[in-house]
Amino acid sequence: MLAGSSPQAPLFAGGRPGTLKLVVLMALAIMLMLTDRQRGFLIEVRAKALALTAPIYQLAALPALAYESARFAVADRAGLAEQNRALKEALLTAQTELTQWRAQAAAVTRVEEQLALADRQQLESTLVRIVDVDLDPFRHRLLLDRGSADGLERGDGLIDAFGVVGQVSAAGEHTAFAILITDPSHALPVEVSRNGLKSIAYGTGDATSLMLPNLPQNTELAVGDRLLTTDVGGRFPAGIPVAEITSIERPTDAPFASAYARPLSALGRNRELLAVKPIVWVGPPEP
Amino acid sequence: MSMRPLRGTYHLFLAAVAVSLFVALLPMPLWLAVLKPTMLALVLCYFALEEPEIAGLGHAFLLGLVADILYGGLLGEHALRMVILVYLTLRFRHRLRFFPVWQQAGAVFALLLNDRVLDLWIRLLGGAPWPPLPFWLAPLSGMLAWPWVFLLLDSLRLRRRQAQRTRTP
Repeated sequence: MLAGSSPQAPLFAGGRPGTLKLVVLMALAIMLMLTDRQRGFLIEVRAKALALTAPIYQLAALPALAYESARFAVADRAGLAEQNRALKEALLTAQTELTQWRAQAAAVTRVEEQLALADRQQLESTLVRIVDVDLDPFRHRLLLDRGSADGLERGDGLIDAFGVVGQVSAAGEHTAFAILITDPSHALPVEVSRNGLKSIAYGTGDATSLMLPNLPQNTELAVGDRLLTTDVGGRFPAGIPVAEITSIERPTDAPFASAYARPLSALGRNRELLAVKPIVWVGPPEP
Repeated sequence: MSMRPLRGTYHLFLAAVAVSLFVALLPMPLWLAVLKPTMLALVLCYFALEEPEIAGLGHAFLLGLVADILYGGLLGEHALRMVILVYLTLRFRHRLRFFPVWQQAGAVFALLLNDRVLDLWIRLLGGAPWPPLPFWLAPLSGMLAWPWVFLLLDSLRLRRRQAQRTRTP
């Protein structure tokens, strides 16, 4: 077996390693990676491919699902009662907050109407579940059980009860990939709730921190400030909590300060998320 | 020795690849997930050693692409890594094949470590920060898994080969 490669099908058959083939395939792979990063036509390709792989995820998630339901079946009464009580309490708190929130929102609307500034917007949302499969423990990605058939699209925001979780990065027919706000390739325009200061929160790759680089040295930001979404990016409705500032660095030898913030959402530890559409502007009010 | 790969062996190859791709998706606790070796790499390594007619660079590329789509990473990332892994394995195949299994495991560790470095390089270029130390555990667990993967695949392959040979004299 000297020249092991078969004469027909030279590119995709086996045989002795051809250096030319190696170089060609490596170049092809690198080109693919670059194209994928530039977000070109590959989005379509990925969406199509996701339709094919969807059943595989369902299958892979089965053991965990079975474990979950088995645990639920044998969970003792006391545990369930305790959980029930905690949930009721949480609901009550949430409702109280909601009532206050509504009152405030009404006040804000009144003021805005007086200023003739009210931008009417609609919020469309879908409840999605996280499919429990292991994509890569060192990456900040999720798999969702809804896809384009349920109205999900690339760019939809994902939020949970506590704040922003991430965004849909690719949507197949019945599954979608999501990227968490802590992924290093994610950036989110934010606004400080206290004074309306605007900035951008970048993921750091660490599940417990976001970074706000390039702040002016005399920034008014303070530890404990809450960051909310703004309508600058157009991806999230404004005013959803994102993170809380944990530390501010003002290096003396650099022109800019930077701040770190802890995400407020449970970042995928809870199984249900809400997917929200990018803001749909109904239009300015009639003059 | 210079025989065309048997049909049964090809089916075994596809089955092993499918299982390895699938196993990687199974959810597990984080401490275990971190230890999980790249099973696709081990399977490709085995077939590149024993059945180079099947596990060529082209197959490595295509299967790498399948892995990329399945795991939602950058398209082409696994493809690049698997092509390089299979190339190196094929390159040193004649030496590796006559190593005892434990020594082979050492070589596999080197291959997997190289693969991990490539992985790291792609991540860093993508803007990811330096990963935590457990990132380097996977090649180690891959080395420990190698003898078992080798023995399992070897026995399956030889059994198929024998069955086929008795059928077609």
